[in-house]
Amino acid sequence: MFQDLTMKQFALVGKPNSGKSSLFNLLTGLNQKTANYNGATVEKKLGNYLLFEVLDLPGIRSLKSVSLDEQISKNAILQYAENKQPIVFVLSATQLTDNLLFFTEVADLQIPCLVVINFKDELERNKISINTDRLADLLGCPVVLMNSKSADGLAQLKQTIEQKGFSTPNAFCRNLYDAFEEDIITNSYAQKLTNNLINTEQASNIDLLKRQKIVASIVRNISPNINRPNVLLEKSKRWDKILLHPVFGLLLFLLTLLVVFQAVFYFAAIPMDWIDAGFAKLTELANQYIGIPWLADLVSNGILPGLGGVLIFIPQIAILFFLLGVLEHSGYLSRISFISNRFLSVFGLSGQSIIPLMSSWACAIPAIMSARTIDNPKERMAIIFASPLMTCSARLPVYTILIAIMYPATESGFFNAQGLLLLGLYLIGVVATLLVAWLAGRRSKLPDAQFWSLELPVYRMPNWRNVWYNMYYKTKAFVVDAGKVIFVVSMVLWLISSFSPKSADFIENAYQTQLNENDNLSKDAVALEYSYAGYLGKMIEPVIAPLGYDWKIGIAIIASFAAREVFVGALSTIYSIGGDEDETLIKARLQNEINTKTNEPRYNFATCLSLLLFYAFALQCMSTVAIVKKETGSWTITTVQFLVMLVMAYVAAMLAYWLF
Amino acid sequence: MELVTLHNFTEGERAIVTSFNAGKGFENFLLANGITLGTVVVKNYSPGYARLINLTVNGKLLTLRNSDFEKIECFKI
Repeated sequence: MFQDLTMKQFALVGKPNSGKSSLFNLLTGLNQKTANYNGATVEKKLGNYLLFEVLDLPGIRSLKSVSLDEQISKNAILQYAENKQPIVFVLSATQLTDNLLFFTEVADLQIPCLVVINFKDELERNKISINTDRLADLLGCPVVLMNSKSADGLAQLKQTIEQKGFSTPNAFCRNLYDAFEEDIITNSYAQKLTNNLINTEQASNIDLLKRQKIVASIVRNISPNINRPNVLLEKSKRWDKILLHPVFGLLLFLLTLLVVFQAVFYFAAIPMDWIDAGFAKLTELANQYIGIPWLADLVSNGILPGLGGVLIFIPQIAILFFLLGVLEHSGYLSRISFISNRFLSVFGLSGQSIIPLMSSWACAIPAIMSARTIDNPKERMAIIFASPLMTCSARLPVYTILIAIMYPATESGFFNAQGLLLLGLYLIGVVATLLVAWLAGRRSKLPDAQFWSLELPVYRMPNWRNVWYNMYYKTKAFVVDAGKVIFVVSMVLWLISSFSPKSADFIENAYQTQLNENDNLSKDAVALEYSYAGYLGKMIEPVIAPLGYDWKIGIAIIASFAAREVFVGALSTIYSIGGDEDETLIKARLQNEINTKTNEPRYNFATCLSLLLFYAFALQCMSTVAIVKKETGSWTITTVQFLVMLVMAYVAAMLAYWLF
Repeated sequence: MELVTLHNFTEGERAIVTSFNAGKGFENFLLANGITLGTVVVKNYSPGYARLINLTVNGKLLTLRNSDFEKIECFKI
C-alpha cells in the first residue's frame, strides 16, 4: 500500500526514545490504527494528519543493526528510499551526536527528509543553543526545533509539512561507496544495505571514522555549548543509585508491583458497579420494550449478559494499561530490566526479556511480537514459548469474578484478600513462565547470542498524552476484539441453550419428575439441561468432573477456547437462561448455583480455585496460537506449546480441587 | 595515560575507547550503541548483583554485560 505514490504519506524515523511516538500522537490525535507493513507481523501505527498518512516506525539504532525488529524498520526505510517517499527524521536534542551519526546513514540513502530536533525544553534547561538554520544548511534539509510534549514548535512543523518542505539531504559517505563501485549514478550504498553487504571490514572502518568526523564537525558548528552537563541525565544517575540499589531498588520494584495490582482492584470497583447496574437496566428495558418475545429473549438473555460480562472489566483493564504506561514513559520500566537481569539469568534469560514478559500482563500477542527485540535466538524462542503463561488482561475478568465469589468484598481498604489473591495468581503466572522458559531454553537447539545491551532512558515526568493514547488504544483493542467474538459466541450459546432436541412435553415431564426431589428447581434449569448446550456439556462432563466442574462450566470452557474472556460472558448467558430472571448480577447467579448432587454451592472454594488455576495455565486464546505459529514458523512448536499448557492446566486444576 | 579494559574502572571515571578485543560483529554491535573508536565513555553506578555495567555514552545511559565490557580497551582521561 505504501508504494502508492498518489497518497501523501511520510514516515517517522529515529532512534529509540527520540520522541517519535509523542510526535505521532501530536500529529494524528485519535486518527490512528495499527498497520502491518510489507507483510511483517510487527504492528506499526498508521495515522492521518490532514491529508497525509503518517507511519510511526519502531525505533532503530543504526541501519547496520541486526535485531529482528530493527531489521523491519530498516527494510521500511529502504523501501521509502526506493520509492523516494519522504520521512520526518526525529532527533533527540540531548543525544545530538549519537542521533546525527544515524542520520548520516539515512541521508546517504537520499530520501527526502525533514529533520525534527525534539526535547527543546531540555536544551533550554541545559542552557544549550542550537543554530537550526546553520544545521539545515549543513544537512541539506529543513530543520525544526520542537518539544513534542508541550507541542512547542508544532505550528512550524505543520507549516513545513503542509508546504511539503522535504528535501534530499547532503550525502555524507555515499560517494565513498560509489567510488568503490566506480558508479556515481546508482546509489550503491542503498544497494549494499539492501543486499546486506555493507559490513565488509574495509567499508565499515572507513565509514565509521568518516561519519564520526563529519558529525563532530557539524555539532561543533551548530552548538558551541553542546558539552554543557545534561541536567536530566545527571539527575537520572543520582536516582539510579536508589532505584538500582540491591536492597532499596528491589524493595521499590516489589512495592511498585503490589501497588499496581491493588490499584487495579481498588479504583475499578465503583465504575464496575456502574457498568453492571447499567447493563441490568438495559436488560430490563429490553424485556419491557422489545415486542417480539424471541428477540427480547435473545437480547436480554443472550447478547446483553455476554457483552456486559466483558465490558464490566473495562475499568480494570484501563487502569492496568494506564499504570504500565506510566512505568514505561517515566523510564522506570528499563530499570526493571536492569534489576531483573541477574535473576532472569538463573532461568537462561536476560534483562531484555523483562519487557516482553511485562507486556504479557497486558496481552501475550504484543509480548510475543516484542520478543523480536531480544538479540539471543534461544532466549527469544523461550520467551515466545513461555510468555502466554503470564497473566494477561483477558484472564482478569475470569479471575475477578471467581475471586469475588471466593472472597466477598467484606474488607475495606486498599489492601485486602481479593487483591492479595490476584497478586498470588500473577506470581503463579510468573513462576510458571520462568520455569517453562528455562526448560524451553534448555531443550532449544538454537544458538546463544554473543552480545547484549540496554539503553536506560532518563527519568522524565510521563507524557500524559502518550499514556492516555496508549491506554485508550489498548483498551479499545481489547473491547473491540473481545466484543466481536463475544457477540457471536453469545448468540450461538443462546441458540444452543434455548432450543432442545426434545419436545416441550418431554421437558415438562422431566421437570415434574425432578420437582419431587428438589422443591427449589426452576423449569428453566431443566430446559437448559435438555437443550443442545446441555447435551454438549454432559458429553464432556466425564473429562472435567475430576476438576470439580459440571456440564454448565464445561460449556463455558468450550466457548472460551477461542478467547479466555468469553468464559464470563458465556456463564452470564448460560445462567441468565437457566436461573432466576431477577438475578441480574453474574456474581449473584454463580453464588446461588447449587450442586444438585451434594446440595452445596456449585462455586465453592475448591471449584473456584480449580477454575482459577485452569485459566492460569491453559492456552485458551486462538490469536496467541496464530501469532506463535507466525513468529516461530513451526506448527510443531505451536502444538507442543498448546498441549503442554493444557496438561499443566488440567493437573493443577485437579490437584486444587482434590486438595481443597 | 594507561591502557586498560573498561572493567577496571570505578564509578565516575572517564575514558576514550581505543580498541576492541573482538570481531567485526562486536564492533557493529557497539556502533549501533554509539560506541566507536575515540568515543568518550563514563562509568556510572553499577551494582554488582546485576552483572551489568552502566555507562554514559554520547549523552545517553547505556548498559552492557560484564563479559562484553571486558572486550573494550581504552585510555583513562
